[in-house]
Amino acid sequence: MNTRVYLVVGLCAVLALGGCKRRPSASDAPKEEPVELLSVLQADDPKAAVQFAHGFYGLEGNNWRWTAAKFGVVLAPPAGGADRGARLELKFTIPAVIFDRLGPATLSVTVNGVALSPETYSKSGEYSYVRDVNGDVFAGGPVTIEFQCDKALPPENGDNRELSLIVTSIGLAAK
Amino acid sequence: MTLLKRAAYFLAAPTLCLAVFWRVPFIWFRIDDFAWLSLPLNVHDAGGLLDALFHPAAQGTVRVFSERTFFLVLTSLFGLTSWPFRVVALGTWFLNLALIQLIGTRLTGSRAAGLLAALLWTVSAVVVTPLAWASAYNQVLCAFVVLLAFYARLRWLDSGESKWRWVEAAAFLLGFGVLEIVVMYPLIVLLHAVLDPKARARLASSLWMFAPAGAFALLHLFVIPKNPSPIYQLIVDAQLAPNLWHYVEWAIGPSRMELRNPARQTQGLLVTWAIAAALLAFFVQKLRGGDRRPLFLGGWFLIWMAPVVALPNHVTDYYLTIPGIGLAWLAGWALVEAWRAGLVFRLVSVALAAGYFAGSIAEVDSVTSWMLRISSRLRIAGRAMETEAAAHPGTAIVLLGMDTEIFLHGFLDGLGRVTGVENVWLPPGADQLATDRDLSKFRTTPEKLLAELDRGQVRALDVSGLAGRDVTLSYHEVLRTVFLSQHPGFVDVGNAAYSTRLSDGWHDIENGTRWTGQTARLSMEIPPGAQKLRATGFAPDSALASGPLIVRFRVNNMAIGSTTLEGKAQAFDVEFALPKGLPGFVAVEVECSKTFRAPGDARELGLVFGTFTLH
Repeated sequence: MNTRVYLVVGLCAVLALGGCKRRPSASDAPKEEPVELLSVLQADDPKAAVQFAHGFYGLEGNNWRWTAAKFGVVLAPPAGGADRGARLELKFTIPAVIFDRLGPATLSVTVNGVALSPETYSKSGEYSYVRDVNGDVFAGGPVTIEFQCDKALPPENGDNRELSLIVTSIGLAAK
Repeated sequence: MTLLKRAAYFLAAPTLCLAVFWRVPFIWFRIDDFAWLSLPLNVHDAGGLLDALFHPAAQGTVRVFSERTFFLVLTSLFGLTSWPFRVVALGTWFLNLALIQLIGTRLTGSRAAGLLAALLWTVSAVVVTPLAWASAYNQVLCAFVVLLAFYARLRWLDSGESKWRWVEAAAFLLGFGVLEIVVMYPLIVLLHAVLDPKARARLASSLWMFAPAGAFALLHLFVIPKNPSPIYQLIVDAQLAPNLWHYVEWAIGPSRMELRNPARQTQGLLVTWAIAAALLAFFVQKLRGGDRRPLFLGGWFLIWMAPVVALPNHVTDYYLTIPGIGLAWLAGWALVEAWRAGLVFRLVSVALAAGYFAGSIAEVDSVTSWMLRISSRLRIAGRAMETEAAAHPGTAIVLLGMDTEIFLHGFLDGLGRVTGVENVWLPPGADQLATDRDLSKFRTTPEKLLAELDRGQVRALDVSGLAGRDVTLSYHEVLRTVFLSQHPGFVDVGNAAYSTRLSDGWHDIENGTRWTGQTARLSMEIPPGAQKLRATGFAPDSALASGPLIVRFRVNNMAIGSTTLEGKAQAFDVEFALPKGLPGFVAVEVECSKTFRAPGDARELGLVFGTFTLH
C-alpha cells in the first residue's frame, strides 16, 4: 500500500474510534449535594449561589455582583439566633455611575416581611448596612431577606439588566 | 517545485490558520446549532428521515449536504461532542485554501499571489463564524463547491480534458444542496467568459447552468415557504451602497478593532481605508494598462454579494466567506506587483500587509476567545443536564446561576431538548433574563416548582461554575423558605409546600387536605397586625357517626377556643381571637375529643383540615 492508502485507513480508524459515541452516563451526573444553607453569603462563594434568591446577576471581578433594584436572599439563622437575635450586614457599593445620574439612594429591608429601618446614602462609595434582627423571626428556620433600593438604571445600551447596587456580601452574625 | 517545496507551499496557509484559530477545535455549540443537533431526535422511520433531509427549515432553506446530512451524520456518530464538527469544517477550509492558491495562481500568473491570497483570507475575522459555528458550515462547504467548480473550469479551459467539465458540473449541482447562493455561479462563468477570450469561445457549452440555477431560484422564491421574519426581507433601497461598503470594510481590513479594544477602533479603520485606497489604485492602474482581470476579481466579490447585500436586517460577516476571496486574490496580486515595483511600493505594501495581519489576528483572537467563553459555559450546562437526564429520566431541570448572554445562546434554540431534558425552567424571581424575548416556556410558579420538587420531578443545577452542581436539596429549602415568607400567616395543610410548617399528628395529603390524629400541631408566622386564627376543614360522616366532635384550639399552649361539630357531614370554618403579645412564630395545636378507625385503615383519624390563617 502506498502512503495515501495508509493515511486514508488511519483517518477512518480515528473517525471510527471517535464514532463510538459515549452515551451520557448516570454515574457522570453531578452528585446531589446535601442541604447546607449559609448564614453569610460572599458574592464569590459557589456554595452561596443557590441562596441568592432573586435580583442578583453573575459574579464579576471575582468578588462582586450587580443587583437589580429589588433583590433577595435566603439565610440560615446564626447559632443562637432564635434566642438572642442576630445582626444583619449588607456590604455594598453605590457606584458613581449610578449615583452621578440618579442621586441619593434609599435602601429598605425586610426580614420575613418585618421591616427594618431604611437608610439613605447621599454619596457614592462603599457602605455597610447593619441592623439588629429580633430572634422571633428565626423560629421557623431560614429567613427571606428582601432589599429594595429606590434607584436603579434601566436596561440600556444592549445590556438587559436593571442595575442598582454592587454587593460583595450579605450575612447574619450571632449577637 | 520539489515535493518538499510543494508541501510547504500548500501547508503554509493551513498552518497559519491553525495558529490563528487554535481555539476553534475547543469551541462548543451555540444558538442555531441546537436546533440542528435535535434533527436525529425527529428521525424514527424513513418518513422522518426524508423530512429531516428535505423539509424546508429556518428561512425556507433545504441545505441537504451542508446542514441536514452534516448534522445528522456527525450528531449520530458523536452526539454533543463538538470537535468532529470543527475537524470537518477546518478540513474543508484547508481544501478551500489550496483551491484559492491554485485558482489565484492561474488568474494572476503568480504562485506567490495565490499563496498570499490564501494567507490573507485565512486570518480574516470574517471566517471565524464559518469555522467555529457548525450552523455556518454551509459557507465553508459552499466555498468548496464553487471553488472546485471554477478550478475545474479553468483546468478544462487550459487542457480541454472533458473530465474537468464533469467535475465542474458535479460540484455546481451539488451546490444546490449546500447553499442557495450557488445560483450565482453561472454569472461568474459568464463574467469570466466576457473578460477572457479563451473562456468566451467555450461559453456556449456552459450556458446550460443557467437552467438549474434559474429553476432553483424560482423554486426558492415562489414555492418554498419563507420565514416571514423581517430579518430575511429583501429590500432594495438607498441602504444598499452603505451596506456594501460595510461589507467591503469587513473584508479588506481590521475594521472592527473595537472587538479587541475600543481605543484601537480608529487605528483599525485607518488601516482598512489605506488598504482600500491601495487596492483601488492597483485596480485602476491595471485597468489603465489594459488588464481586465481586476474586473473579474471585483466582479467575483459583487456577484456573490448580490443575494445578501439586499438583506439590510441581516448584515452578518460570514456572508463574506465566498465573496471576499475575490478581494483576497486582488490583494495577493497587488502585494506581489508592489514587491516588484521598487522600494517605496515594497515598503508601503509590507506596512499595509503587516497592519492587516496584526489587526485581523487581534480580531480573530477576540472573537474566538468570546466564542470559547460562551460555548464553554453552555457545554458545562449541557453536559450536566445530559447526565442528570440519564440519572433522573423524565425530570425537569431548574437552572441556577444562568446569565442572560449564556441563556440566549443556548436555551431558546433547544439545548434542553438535545440533552434529553424536555422542561428547563429558570428559578422564579430570576426569570427576567431578557425583556425582548418570549421566555414563557422557561417560567414556572413557585407553587408548581415546589410541588414538582416535592415529587422528585425536578433537579436543580447550578451552572455558574466550572462544573454543574446538583443543588436540588438546598434549592428546595431556599424555594420553600421564599414561598413561606411570601405567605406569612397562612398554612394550607393539604399543600406540600407548607409541609415544613407541620409538626406531629398529621397524616398524608389526601385530595388537598389532611386528616389529623387525636391532636395535631403546626407552626405559623404571625403577620403584622394579626388578631385572629381562622381554620377551615371538613367533618365527614364517619368522624361524626358516634356523636358530636369537639375540637379545641390552642396557640403557644394557650386555649383560644373550641367548636362542636355534630350531625351530618359538614364543612367548617371557625375563627378565634388571638392572645395579645405573641412572638413572631407561634405553635398552633388542634385536639379532637374523639377519634375513629376506618375499616381496613390502621390510622387513628380525628378530623380533616384544609387551611389555617392568622389575620
